[in-house]
Amino acid sequence: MSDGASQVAGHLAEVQPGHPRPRPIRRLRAALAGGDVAVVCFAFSIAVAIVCRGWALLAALSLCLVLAALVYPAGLRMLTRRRTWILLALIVVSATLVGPDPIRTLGPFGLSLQGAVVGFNMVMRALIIIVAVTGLVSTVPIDRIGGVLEHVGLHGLGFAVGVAFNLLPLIERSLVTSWHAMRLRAGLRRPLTAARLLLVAAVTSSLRCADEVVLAAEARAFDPNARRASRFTWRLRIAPLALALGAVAVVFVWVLQ
Amino acid sequence: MRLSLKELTIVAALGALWGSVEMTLGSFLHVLNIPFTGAVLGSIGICIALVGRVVVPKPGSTLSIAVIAALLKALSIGGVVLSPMIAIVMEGLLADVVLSAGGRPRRSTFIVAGAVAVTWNTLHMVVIQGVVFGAGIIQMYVVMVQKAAALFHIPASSVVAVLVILVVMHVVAGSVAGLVAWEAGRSVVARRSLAGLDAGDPT
Repeated sequence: MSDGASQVAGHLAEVQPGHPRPRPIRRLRAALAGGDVAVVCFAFSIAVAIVCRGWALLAALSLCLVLAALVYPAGLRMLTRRRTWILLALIVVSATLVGPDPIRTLGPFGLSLQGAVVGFNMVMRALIIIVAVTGLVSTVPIDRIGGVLEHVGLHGLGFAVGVAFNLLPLIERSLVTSWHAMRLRAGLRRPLTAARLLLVAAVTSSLRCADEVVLAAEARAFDPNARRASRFTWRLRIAPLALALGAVAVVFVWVLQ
Repeated sequence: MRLSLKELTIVAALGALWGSVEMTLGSFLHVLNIPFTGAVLGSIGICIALVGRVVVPKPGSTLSIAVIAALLKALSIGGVVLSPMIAIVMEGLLADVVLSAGGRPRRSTFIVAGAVAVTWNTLHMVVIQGVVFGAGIIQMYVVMVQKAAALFHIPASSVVAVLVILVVMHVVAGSVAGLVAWEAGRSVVARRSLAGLDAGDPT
């Protein structure tokens, strides 16, 4: 089916009398289709996660969750996983046990109120980042995310960041495997040699992952420096939202913090 | 600076490697409050970036690896990351400047690049945190010196000795990182050449 035919078919399916979609939902979907709204919300989330502390961070978390529910609901899927909450609970517990000025000691550890506060701050920050990253990645294709960086003149960097982001789990796994292999073969007896060998193993496995990406990209005649059809475009109507979120971030930092 | 698809992907993979070290080992060391975390992480990171320079021998490749690692560091959950992100980029920038000024890749250039990049960590807290985060530079300087003096059980009055020890330790760590990177980079390039994969100049 040609593109025109599929567009007509989609249009007909949309206006079927049995299943009419409400107009506000159609408008919202049209507004979110370009991905620029998601990128602005993501940028806001990361910025407030970096600069906010304490009550400002709590307010930022609330707003980011609301934005995620509206813009990229797929990001909230991470919060339904038990593993996420176990990880976050571990962060709070460990920060409470190793924090400064313990109010009560339990053997080598102590119960630190300051540590607990720091732990909760880390958890709030983690929640903002997890939801924002998951939401953006599941809503906007990675080449468009890279297009954002290329849009500001960093040719190829957007592609490189996208590749790096996708390679992270593979590289972490190979790093752990190399470490265990070296430890089991008693390779840690000579630290400097061990460090060099571990570095060579880690770099080689990373480059192997890179070679696979290069092969896949070359098979598709991909050119990172070329102007692509999927190049990211900013719409003018995104400006009020970006300005409003910027103002909110300033309020969070200067008033609440 | 324009890198080819292959070079860009290699830069991305090594940036991801540095980023994953920062996100895992970095968060772990920061939580445990281990001294000289910056020197340890900086040495490991710059080692990876310098290996990248051997594999992709073009000006700007070290900086690109650092920028990617810094962007990935933003996704770390281990507390404040703005300062480490700036430190990572500065380390990459300094190493790149030294390597670009040094001309043809040589062992000595790599050692100097590693030393200069890792030594930035001694100044980083004073320069960046003092200026960007608003505290007075001198005050921050005093805090750093007092902390180091307490660690080495040296009277705080012997400021110069403490500073010299700090700088020398960072220089040594960076030099070792540069040396290891040079050797490891050559091994990697030799392995890739044996495997028939095109890579940088192993000389």
